[in-house]
Amino acid sequence: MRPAVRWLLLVILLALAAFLSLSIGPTGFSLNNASVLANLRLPHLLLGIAAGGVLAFSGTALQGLLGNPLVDPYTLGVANGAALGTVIGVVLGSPAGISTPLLAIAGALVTLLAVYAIARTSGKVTKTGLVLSGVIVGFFLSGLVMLLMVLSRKPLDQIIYLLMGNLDIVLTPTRLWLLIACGVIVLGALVWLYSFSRSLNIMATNEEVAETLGVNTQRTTRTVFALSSLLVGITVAFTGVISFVGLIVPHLARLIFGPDHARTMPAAFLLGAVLLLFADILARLTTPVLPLSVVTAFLGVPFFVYLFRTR
Amino acid sequence: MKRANSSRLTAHGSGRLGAGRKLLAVSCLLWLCACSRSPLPRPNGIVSLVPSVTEIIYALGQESQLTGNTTFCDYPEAARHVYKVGDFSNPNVERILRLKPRLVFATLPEQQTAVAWLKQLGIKVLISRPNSFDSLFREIRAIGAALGASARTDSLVGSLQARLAQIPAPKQRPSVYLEISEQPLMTVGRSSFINEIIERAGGRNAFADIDKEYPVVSQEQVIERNPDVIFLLHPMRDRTEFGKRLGWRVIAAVRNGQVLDDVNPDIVFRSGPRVVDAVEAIARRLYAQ
Repeated sequence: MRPAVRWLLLVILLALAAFLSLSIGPTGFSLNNASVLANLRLPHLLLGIAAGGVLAFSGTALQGLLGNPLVDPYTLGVANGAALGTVIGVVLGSPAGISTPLLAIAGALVTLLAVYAIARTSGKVTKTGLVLSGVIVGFFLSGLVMLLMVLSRKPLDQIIYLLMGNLDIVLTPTRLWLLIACGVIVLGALVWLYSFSRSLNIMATNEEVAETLGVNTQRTTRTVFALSSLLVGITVAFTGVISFVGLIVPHLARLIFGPDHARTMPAAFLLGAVLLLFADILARLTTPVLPLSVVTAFLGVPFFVYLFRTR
Repeated sequence: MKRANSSRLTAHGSGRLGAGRKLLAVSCLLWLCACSRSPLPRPNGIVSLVPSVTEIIYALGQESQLTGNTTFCDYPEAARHVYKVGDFSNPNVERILRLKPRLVFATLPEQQTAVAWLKQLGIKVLISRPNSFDSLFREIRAIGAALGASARTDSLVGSLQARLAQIPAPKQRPSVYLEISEQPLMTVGRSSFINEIIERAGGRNAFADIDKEYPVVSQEQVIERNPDVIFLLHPMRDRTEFGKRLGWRVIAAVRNGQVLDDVNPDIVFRSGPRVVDAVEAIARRLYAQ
């Protein structure tokens, strides 16, 4: 299959997923309720595209940066920071409704700084240092999350659902504005992160060679880490920790589009969005609603196995 | 006091440890002291790990037999001052053992581990998990029998049943959406006790078709079921904030101002004697419309 055809197929898939996402609800197939369409399904669709895309995009960047196929956007700890913020917001209660995502974003940012500070030794950051620091901080934070879950009087499944991924956010005008503001930040961060695709290609071969070729590896490492962490932190703040997308979709993108980050990163974005949208459509057809992470795994794993075995 | 002194001695004795470790040791010992400060009640009493059972014991006037409960047991006021054996989800088996109780009330599945331990250690455990008014009344009788208070039990059950019987049957049943969490949206299903509370109050649970206790639902499902009355029963309950939700204005309850946030969640969630208060409170609001 020619590359152009692959891209076309991917865009068609995304359009199909978007159409289905707009038209399928608990009542079945319907496009005639304008209020539901504008207030619920459209924000839901955009959030799904953003979340799936961002997770896969930053997953690709991080796997490329760290040269590790098992890294996903959650490896570096920020997601645990965001989850901690969410749980604090839910356990302590936030009457204005706005503070839970804000707490989660704050949690992610603090975590980002902590991971970076721990990884930095004598002014330099190494790949191994970042991974180790991220994993350790992540463990510590998930310990805190579990502690809060146990100490709180909330039903546990509420928190579990919240953390395992949900695009069905109850929107009020304040929350909508917060979401739009975050969307603008995410868009900027995506473009900035994409500008590192060439440096990532060169660094993937050999870090020393990259230095001689004029790539500032320290700056690249720092910025890619900070940008993907920011992206993931914001995503988790709104949707919870949706698993699988950020780990496997980068591999899918590389299987289909080759190792060049200039192509795999946008391809991963589209693939991630498609996978998450389909998962979300299935999740919302079930009663009671399933957590997204369950469906992304069931949907993504067979597809990955198929591609892996046939190539 | 004696205990506190001896632990201070131990902390001073650990001179060879590093400063960090010393700090850790001292803080651990302080913790232990803080936990064991309250005087131990006499043995052979009753321990309740379930807030609703604690309420039943007080309603039966048998609080003198209650030697331990959990930090969640906060009603009536006096229940706050009973020896605490832990919180609802983490009762501490050792603290229960120290009380040498003759009987422990627990619930499943939340307290599975503690129940298994207690049974293995030869302590009698009664499980409380009423999911209907009939089973609640059976349970009150069982508790009364275990506490040797049959006469009080009869009068308590009798008065609760009489109050339930007095709630008039409505001509038409409004459909009710009861929100117990906003993020994610959660309500009550058919297998929940609260489903029967809504029905006894003269309402119809909008999600009675879901055979789960507390199902997670989507915004669209709520809108599609178009409830007549909405009860908010979570800490973030706030009618004005609720009114701002995008896309919810099409719901009959929102249009007609039938979103209510003034029912005490504890009386609804705790399957003790106060569930009858919950039925009365909900019925009053359903008839007011």
